[in-house]
This record gives sequence, structure tokens and C-alpha cells, in this order.
Amino acid sequence: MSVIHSYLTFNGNCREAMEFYQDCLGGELSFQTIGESPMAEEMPPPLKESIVHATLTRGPLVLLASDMVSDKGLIKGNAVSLLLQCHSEEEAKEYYTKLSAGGQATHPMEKGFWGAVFGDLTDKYGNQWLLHCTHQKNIPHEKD
Amino acid sequence: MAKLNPYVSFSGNCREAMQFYKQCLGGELVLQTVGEMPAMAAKMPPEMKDHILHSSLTSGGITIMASDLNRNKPVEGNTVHLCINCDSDEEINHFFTGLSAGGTITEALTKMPWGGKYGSLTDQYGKHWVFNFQMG
Repeated sequence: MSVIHSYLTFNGNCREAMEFYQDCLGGELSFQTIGESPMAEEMPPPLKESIVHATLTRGPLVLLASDMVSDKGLIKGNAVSLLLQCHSEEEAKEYYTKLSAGGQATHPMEKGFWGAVFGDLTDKYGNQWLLHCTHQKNIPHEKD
Repeated sequence: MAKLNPYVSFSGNCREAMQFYKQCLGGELVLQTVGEMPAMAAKMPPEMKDHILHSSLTSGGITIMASDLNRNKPVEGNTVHLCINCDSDEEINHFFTGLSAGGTITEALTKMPWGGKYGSLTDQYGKHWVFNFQMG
């Protein structure tokens, strides 16, 4: 089955940013550097540590990233955000606190009119996150 | 366990864009307008009532969500791409051709050293996509 993921571009700080996201979200992180890739010999030595491709995976959560910037350079926008769907309010609040560290807590977690808990933030790398949780904390669990 | 999805912002053309994505990717599209939420519509100018509050397109493992409502005016950047990992050669060709209509192909579909067929494009709405099909 085809799947969609968000793919982030950085300018040499991909490793640092992805390690930050791993600290926030958990999961397994893997990197491929230019030095390890078939491109190694064509690239200047300072770029050897740059990340060709990074993957953070935690169950169904997948985030991809790279230091490979197109000819146009990096243009920061705000028209695509990362929506993190959480399974509990506690989880959402914990992620919110961690991801907003050093960034901007643009809209702290609060109950939306549609009944969910919702918040948004811009992290310290300039990426925008939406956190959403539809779990109703006070609904009693059904008996097994 | 938490899930991560791209959420895409538009300025009034969300319905048109999402219908285009549905044509390209298939799946089921759900659109909710401002006008369908009377409490919200009451706080907004009448011309906003047809704007999309929230929409989602679900096609198998692909979910794209989008809205016309933004706290700040959308600025198209290029640091967040929508990345589709395709299931077959036919599918990557089909998605790539469809989404590039009226847009710009930045890297044509090519066999890459990692054993994938890969390409990238900017669609007619300014959104950036990358595609990969890992060949057996």
C-alpha cells in the first residue's frame, strides 16, 4: 500500500534536528551521510557529514529528512504543517512541551469547539506542528 | 500510538486543490465548510462561509489533510515535502503524471543508486512532492 510521509529539508543541521525530534517523540533514528553514499567522491570533504537521508520511526509515526537542498536554496514557509495525532491528552501535552522548547508556543493546548484537544507550535528549527487528540479523558473504559 | 500526517494550508482554494489531489491519488474526500459550523460562521465574514474548515483525503495508506483557515497568511516554502512511497511502477508513474499537470517537474522519475525510482515536482498550488518506488 502506498503511504505518505512528511519530508523535511535542513541545511547541515539535519542530524541535530532529527536527534531533537527523537528526544521529543521517541522511536528509532537512522542516518545515511554523504560520506557513506556513492556520491562521496564527488562531494567536497566538508560535506561528508551531511545527511543524505534520515528516518525516524516509531510505530506508525514516520518522519523523513535530509540536508540535500535544491538549487533554489531553503525557503521557509508555513503552508505545510506536521499534524501529530495523539492518543491521550497527557501524551499531547508532553509532546507539546518538548517540541516547543526553544521554539514558539504559538497556541498552547486547549479544548477545541469540535471536542478535541488541540494546539500548535513552531519548533526551534522553524517547522510548524499541530497537535491533536480526540481521546476523551473522562469517558470510562468499557469492561473487558 | 501517535501518528504524523502532513497538514496543508490554502487561501480559499482548498476545495479545488483537494479535488485535484483526489483525481490524482484516488480515495475518499471529506470537506467541511465554515458555513456548516454555524457557531464559527457567525464570527466570520459571510464570504468565508464556503471556505474549508477541514478536509481529508484518504486513499489506502495515504492521508492528506488541509484547510483554508490559517492564523497567518500561508507562505509557500520548500522545507517540507509531501513524500509518497509508492507500491508499484504503474502507481508512481500515474501519481507523478497526474500531480505534475500545471506544475513543474523538478526531478523527472529516474532510477536511483538506492534501487528506487524517484522524482520530485512542485504542483500547480505550489506544494512540493517527492515520490519513491523501491524496486524489488
